[in-house]
Amino acid sequence: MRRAPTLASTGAAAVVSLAAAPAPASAHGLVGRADLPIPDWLFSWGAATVLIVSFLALAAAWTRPKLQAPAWRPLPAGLDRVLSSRAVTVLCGAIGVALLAVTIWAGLFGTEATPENFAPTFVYVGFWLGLVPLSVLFGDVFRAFNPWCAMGRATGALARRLGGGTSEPLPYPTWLGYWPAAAGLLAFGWFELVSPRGDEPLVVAVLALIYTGVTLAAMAIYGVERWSERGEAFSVYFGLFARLSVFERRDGHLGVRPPLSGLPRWPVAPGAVALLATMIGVVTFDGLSAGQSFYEGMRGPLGWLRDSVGLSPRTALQAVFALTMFATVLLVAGFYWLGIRGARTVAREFSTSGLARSFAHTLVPIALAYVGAHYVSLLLLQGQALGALASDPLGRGWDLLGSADSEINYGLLGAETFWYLQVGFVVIGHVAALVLAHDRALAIFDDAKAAVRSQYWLLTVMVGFTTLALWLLAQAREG
Amino acid sequence: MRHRQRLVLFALAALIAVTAFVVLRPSVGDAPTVANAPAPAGQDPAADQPPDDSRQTDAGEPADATPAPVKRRKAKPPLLTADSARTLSYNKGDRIRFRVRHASPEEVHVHGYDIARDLPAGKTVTVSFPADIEGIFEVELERSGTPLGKLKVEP
Repeated sequence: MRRAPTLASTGAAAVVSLAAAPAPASAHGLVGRADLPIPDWLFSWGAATVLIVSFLALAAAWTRPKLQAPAWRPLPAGLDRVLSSRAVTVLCGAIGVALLAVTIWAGLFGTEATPENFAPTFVYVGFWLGLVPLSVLFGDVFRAFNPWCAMGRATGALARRLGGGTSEPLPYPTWLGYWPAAAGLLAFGWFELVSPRGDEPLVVAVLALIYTGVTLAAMAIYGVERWSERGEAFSVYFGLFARLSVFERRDGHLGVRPPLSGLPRWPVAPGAVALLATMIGVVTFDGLSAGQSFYEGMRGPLGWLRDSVGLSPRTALQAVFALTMFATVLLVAGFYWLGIRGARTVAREFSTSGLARSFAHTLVPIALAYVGAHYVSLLLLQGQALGALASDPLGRGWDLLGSADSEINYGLLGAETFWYLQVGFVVIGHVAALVLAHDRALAIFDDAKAAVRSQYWLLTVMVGFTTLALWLLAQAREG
Repeated sequence: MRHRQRLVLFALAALIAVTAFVVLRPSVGDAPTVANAPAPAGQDPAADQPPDDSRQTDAGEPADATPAPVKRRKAKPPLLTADSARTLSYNKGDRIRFRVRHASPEEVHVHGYDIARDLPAGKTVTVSFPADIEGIFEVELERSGTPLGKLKVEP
């Protein structure tokens, strides 16, 4: 847990002490380690590679869509039978419910010291970050372990068994689309990055309880499946990344599909752009608020909020953080919108919002690149803490699994390895986004030439996002 | 037309590649030099070096973009206090050395390295250990959670 720094009255001193301890960046306050900024030459090389790849992509462009109606091959029947069996489904659901229960239990009754309590590290590192690579590699893992779905399904089965006529869920309003999920992710981002108390075990547990209540209520109204597809923030979030994996369930059977072919079949709905803008914007804000230039830029507004508005230093800092986070999300959405407006100049028959939604899925690899580049070290290093925390979730000196003494090996990977991983994620995400955008353009424009021309605009947008990602990695985090 | 367009684009890509190479080469060439520069000072990272051999750059002064001069022999290790908020830079293999002082009894804690030292009230304590993990690490007063500064260890 990080305390708000005492702000000196003079602006300069305040900024210096702020830079040393970005107070509201609470969830990562439990870490105490930061990545070294990538060196200038690597930044330039990464940006150059992105440009080269972009032009090559245009040059080597294929003229017929390849990803829109992908082939699907079932997994061997035996494997599918085991993985899709009732026993495995129930077991995975039970594990999910048990992990949620341990989190709430540890948060409510465990130690108040954030690093020694299971709940904050599990939620912000193990769950929030750890499920991202698992989803990309193995498909929709969270769907299997989702505790709320498991509870919803179990309740439904119980109700049927007791003979009560289960009423049909209400139809999910079309206009609501992905908006609840976008709002959920933004709220999570606020607790993770802005709220000074978001990493306290008690707060984590109470939030988990509230979210459980809201989710179960929404599932009761709209049905378990419908709500987890559209409204439940984590199902939608991890489900989007899972669409990058080669594994797909069709008609109740597991199978494999070509890489990248899952995203074009993402159902488009209102709020899709807001969802992606939130995913990219929140990570951008996290990177931005860790950099030196942010603190220099913040000096003026902070002083104004303190001296003219009369806010306490702590409140002023929080207000600036919250506003910047929302502004970043809006800027990301606005920049994407601009590119779509441009692409529309070659295709007047589409509405701007229709076009924006039909290209929204192309931002998923970029969002993944942001998350990967920004959090790979946090996951690999801080994630190790879960070994000890699993043995002593409440921080009371227990040793349930014999792993209580395991320590984090911060030297696991050197700074250079992390640099190459970070830049690698960004470049690969950029390429995947270009491929998806080009393929979608071929699918919706009648004429291949118009499709290519529309891509100049989207290409500009993606180069913009990618360069921003690299720039954030190069931000010095000095005092 | 389509064919020619492709050729133009490939040429453009090649042009960017060459330009990038020419622009980057000096800095790529520089990189090892920069990394190796302090090597003579910290040739034997494993051994306990004499303390004054450590190379410390103080990046904590505000509005000072240029790297501070390397501290010479007999310079005392930098002092970290509750309102110093300094970042001390090292290269991997150097020996980290800094002093800490606080008015009330405390414990100084270096994250990542997980080094903790008792800090009697008003006494100056010198903390010293080899810089063997890369990254940026926080130094704080453990009991009150007050940040003292950061250690930056580069490869």
